[in-house]
Amino acid sequence: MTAPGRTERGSTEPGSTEPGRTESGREAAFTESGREAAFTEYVAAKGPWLRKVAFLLCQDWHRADDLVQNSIIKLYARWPQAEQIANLDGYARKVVVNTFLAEQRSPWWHRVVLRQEHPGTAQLAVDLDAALDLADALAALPPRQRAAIVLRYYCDLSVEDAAEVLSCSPGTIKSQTSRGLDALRRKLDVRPVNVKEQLS
Amino acid sequence: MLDETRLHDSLDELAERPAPPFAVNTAAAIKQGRRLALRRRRLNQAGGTLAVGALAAVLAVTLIPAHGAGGRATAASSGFARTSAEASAPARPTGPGTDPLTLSGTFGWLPANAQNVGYSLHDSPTQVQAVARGAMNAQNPNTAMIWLTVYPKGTTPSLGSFADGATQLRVAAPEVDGRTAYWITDAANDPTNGGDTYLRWQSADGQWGELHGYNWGDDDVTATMLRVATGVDFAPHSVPVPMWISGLPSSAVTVEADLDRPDLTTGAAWDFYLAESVDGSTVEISVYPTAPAAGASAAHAAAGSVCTQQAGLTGCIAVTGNAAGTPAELIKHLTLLGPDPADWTTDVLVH
Repeated sequence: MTAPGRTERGSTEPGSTEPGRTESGREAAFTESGREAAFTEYVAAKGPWLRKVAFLLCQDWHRADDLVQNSIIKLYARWPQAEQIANLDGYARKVVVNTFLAEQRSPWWHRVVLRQEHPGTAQLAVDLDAALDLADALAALPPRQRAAIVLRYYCDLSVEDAAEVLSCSPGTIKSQTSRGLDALRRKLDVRPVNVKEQLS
Repeated sequence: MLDETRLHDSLDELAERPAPPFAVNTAAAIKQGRRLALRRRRLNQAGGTLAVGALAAVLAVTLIPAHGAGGRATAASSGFARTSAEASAPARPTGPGTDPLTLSGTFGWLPANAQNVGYSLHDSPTQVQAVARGAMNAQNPNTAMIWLTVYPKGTTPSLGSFADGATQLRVAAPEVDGRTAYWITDAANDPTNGGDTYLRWQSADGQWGELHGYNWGDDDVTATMLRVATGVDFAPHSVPVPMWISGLPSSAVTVEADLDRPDLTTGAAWDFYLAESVDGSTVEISVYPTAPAAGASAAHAAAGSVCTQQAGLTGCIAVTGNAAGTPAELIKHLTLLGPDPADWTTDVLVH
């Protein structure tokens, strides 16, 4: 199964009509309004996909939105250069992943939408718990293991490509992935459950 | 057993789970991204200044006649402008001007942990807000914040939805100076809205004010906000800023203006940013205290923006589009007023 939006821009054929990549898009990008329009179109087209990547990294839709919001700010700041990158989707995803990792590391954790859980949310979470085993297991992984798992098994990146995103060696990706998989198996397999059935 | 194929499918299905509405604001991202780009260019200039310091003396500098009081500013062909008379007093505005940071109310009492007051104008909707925050630094990133919005006279703000789609509810609050007040929350039993707290109240003449507070931790945010509300002065107030500029057409429209205290990027005491829309072009001006290391030394060419140093401040102009003139042209019309707020002006956009 291939999630919508998982095709990377760099893999598209010449003549693609994706946002910001058409000839007219290139011309329009020379103007501020054209640049904004191309960016807006890109976010509209690829924002939901980036959000899913962000959600798998952080297991919270609201925080995923914050993560995407912070990421597209960075993306727009480099938009003239980004538009020239062959694999724009890959670049945007890298921004999301690195923004996530940076927020894990940094005390400057800043949420654009500063909201906290309300009383009662915890109970709701308990009710939904049965459907969230995989999310819980992912959340229990260290951030870089989690990122490696998402890049390898959701984004379908090769070891080498995942290493490029995380700015590490392929060997590190292999070890991070291996440890992450082991941890997921331990957490998920202690309970006789079918992950797919739970999520359906 | 969780094999890799099953994990792949499970991640797909997890990502496809029902989700709340996508709450990303592209327009805001564009504005903030534009600012970030300008700041990066600025930082590149500072870094370049250090890097090429030894070469400064041999940089070819083309002097351009300056404006204002006796040709204070000079522009370099490299894209940087330098002052030729740092010690001279800043030129006062040559005529009356408008102030983009004009609002209808100001803070009075503020708690000890939110004493830094800045101002912000955004154009959707056009609204100038004051914001009080604590000292921000790496050790204290989530400083307490209170935003003040004063609605125009005759305007009664309505309830809508929060950014995540939750419906806003009105919950009665204690009166403020005997006037109607209410909390805005998405849970009727939680007036603090989970720590992202909104209070609206009416002034003596019926004008509505709104406070938005967050990052208050275990503090009693409701009591604090009620006291802050009591101290708000509902009176027109123009905020002095550290620069003025002439040469922009009267059709220029301010799309963003921020006087941040402290500078949210560098931690400096303050930072001023102004974005003017001119017939489809955007003129961005950034003013900040000159870092000692940068001094009045070398210039470093940064694509797209031109900077000047005057009176201990650095000002940079970037232009997108062709309708507003070039940064090199506009920088000649920019005057910086020094680091002391007592020298700043409310005649900012002089036509």
